[in-house]
Amino acid sequence: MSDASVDVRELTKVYADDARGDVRAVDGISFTCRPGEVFGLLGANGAGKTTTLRMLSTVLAPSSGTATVAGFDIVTGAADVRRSIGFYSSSTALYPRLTARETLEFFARINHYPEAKVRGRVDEIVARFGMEPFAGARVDKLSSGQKQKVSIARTIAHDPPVLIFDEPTVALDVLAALDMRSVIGELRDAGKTVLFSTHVMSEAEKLCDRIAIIHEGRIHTTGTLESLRAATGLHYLEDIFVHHVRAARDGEAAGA
Amino acid sequence: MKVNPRDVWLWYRMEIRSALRERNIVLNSLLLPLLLYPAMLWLVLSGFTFVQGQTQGLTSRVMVTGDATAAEALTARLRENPKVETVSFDGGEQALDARIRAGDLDAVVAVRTDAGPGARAELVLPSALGSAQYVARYDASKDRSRLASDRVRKTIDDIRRDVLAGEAAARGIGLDSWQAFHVGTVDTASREDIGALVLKLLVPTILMVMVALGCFYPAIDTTAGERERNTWETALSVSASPGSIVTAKYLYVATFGAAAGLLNIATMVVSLGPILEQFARGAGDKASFAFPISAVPVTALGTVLVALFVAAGLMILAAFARTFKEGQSMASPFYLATILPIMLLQSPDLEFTPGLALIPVANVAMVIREAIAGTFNLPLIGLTALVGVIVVGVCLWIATRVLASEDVLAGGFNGSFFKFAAARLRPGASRDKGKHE
Repeated sequence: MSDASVDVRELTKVYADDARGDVRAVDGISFTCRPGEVFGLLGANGAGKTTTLRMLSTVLAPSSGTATVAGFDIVTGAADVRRSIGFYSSSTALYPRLTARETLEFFARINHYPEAKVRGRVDEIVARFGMEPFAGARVDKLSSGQKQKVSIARTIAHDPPVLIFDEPTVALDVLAALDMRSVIGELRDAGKTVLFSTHVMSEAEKLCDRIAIIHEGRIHTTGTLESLRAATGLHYLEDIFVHHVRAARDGEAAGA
Repeated sequence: MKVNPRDVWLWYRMEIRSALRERNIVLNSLLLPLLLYPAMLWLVLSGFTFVQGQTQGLTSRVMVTGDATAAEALTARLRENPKVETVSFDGGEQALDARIRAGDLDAVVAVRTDAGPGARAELVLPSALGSAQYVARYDASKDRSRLASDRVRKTIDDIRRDVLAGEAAARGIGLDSWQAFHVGTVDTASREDIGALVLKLLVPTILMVMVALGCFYPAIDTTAGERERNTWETALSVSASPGSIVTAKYLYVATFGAAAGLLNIATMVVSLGPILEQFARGAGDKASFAFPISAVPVTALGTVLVALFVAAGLMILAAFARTFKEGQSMASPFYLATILPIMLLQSPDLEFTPGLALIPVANVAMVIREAIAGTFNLPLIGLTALVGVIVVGVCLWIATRVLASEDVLAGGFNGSFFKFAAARLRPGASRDKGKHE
């Protein structure tokens, strides 16, 4: 059995679109992530990052291929997968009428964190994120930055081994984005697997242990920043990304 | 569809807690049934009484025409009523009618003292007024004119009674003997029967409206509202299965619908009788408007059954909406379809038949109506319950098909329930590609 906490093999997602027919949003991608690793999916808008992460969080079912998260199959063990992950994206908002503390308690309980430890866990998270001043306030009364903290905090309320973050710093101001990066670093240090998508090159450079460049539903290369530099002879990730996207386009043109 | 009772309970509690903090839901689902309808009833009846009082206080402007002696005698009698003012205008019948329609005049009484060509001589009374014919002209579309007509009629009835009493006395007989025959009626209805006649028309209608209203906002809020707030994907990414989450949401919506109905019943039991009796003081001894306690269990069970059905129907329709507004427009036809049949059941003599027992919601309204009148037809109550269970079952089956559709669940389906039904629910329709555990 693999020691990977995320193991993706030939994962494919095909949508039936009224106007365009079948659309292959994700086309046979494979990669693995290990505990204590930050793995970045780097791609432009529409590359297939969000669809991939939605499949891994079981929000969407794959059309073909397999994947396991924390050892559970995303199709046959979907409930176990969801219990083992914390999923955050721009479309995973908070329940506005709960307080910040109620939110954390609810997500810990609904994700089956041991009942006896819920209060202690929530206190710990409230302290870690500096949420004491607003822990009793309703979410809809919080500022954007405070909501962001609660959003991230609720993904780890049940202490999952795998965190899946879809573009976690998009729409954040500089300081909030810095906070987010700091949290991701801490999670890695705590032995968690962090799988996140981004189109911000500097973010991927700073945070990721390994990077997969995804374009039009396919992963074109995977490796550490150093290995990607060595393979292309380019220093900046932006140049490396453009190199791979162009190569993919040239390949398609030649194939056509 | 996997459902975990623990997850359902946790999610249900969260939905209830959230809903109780939402002003619109609390107002429409709890406060409105509890307070507004008794208050509205009181206001309407108060307004009615006020308007009636105002009308009764108006002076009637009456003109008397015709035979001078008889007209003078009638005018004198009319003037005995301080609320009647006799007036005079020029012009013929048409001109006077125009004045009545214009509101310058309330009634015209034309008096003829000739008994007519067919009159028998012995029946023509000698007094100035005794054998007169009175024709009152008025405008029935005007309260004030109708009131004037009533006052004129009462005065003429008084004259008739006085003339008959005089003639009877002159012949040395009593007034009762003057009558050729007497017609008497005896009302066998009890005070409760009379009250039940009003209650059985009023209560089921208001109750069904309350249950539907109680479900309406929570159903849209927890489906379309959840999509609009971007919390639906949050829900799908937690360990609880979609089946558990939707079951919890369904129970939450049904709870608010049932709560609205049950609160409404409680309000009616406590306040309806005293309010109606206060405003029916004229008939106070003839009617009792107390909600019969014996009807409470059947009414409560019917309320829960309707809440389960309406909650399922509204949620299925609203599940296809992406915004609260869209949810309102998608769910409103079902809301109206639920209420309209009840509005059509307003005939007091309508019988509860097996055919009516097959119509959801209307059948429960009929069961409640019968129960208020003290009738408990067990076979029809059983049939109503069976129909309720079947329609709820069908709704839940549809809900499982909707839940099994990944594009609907994830918000990718573009269209309403009817498009979904045409594509996926009709026999031989293609199954959805994605499936959710």
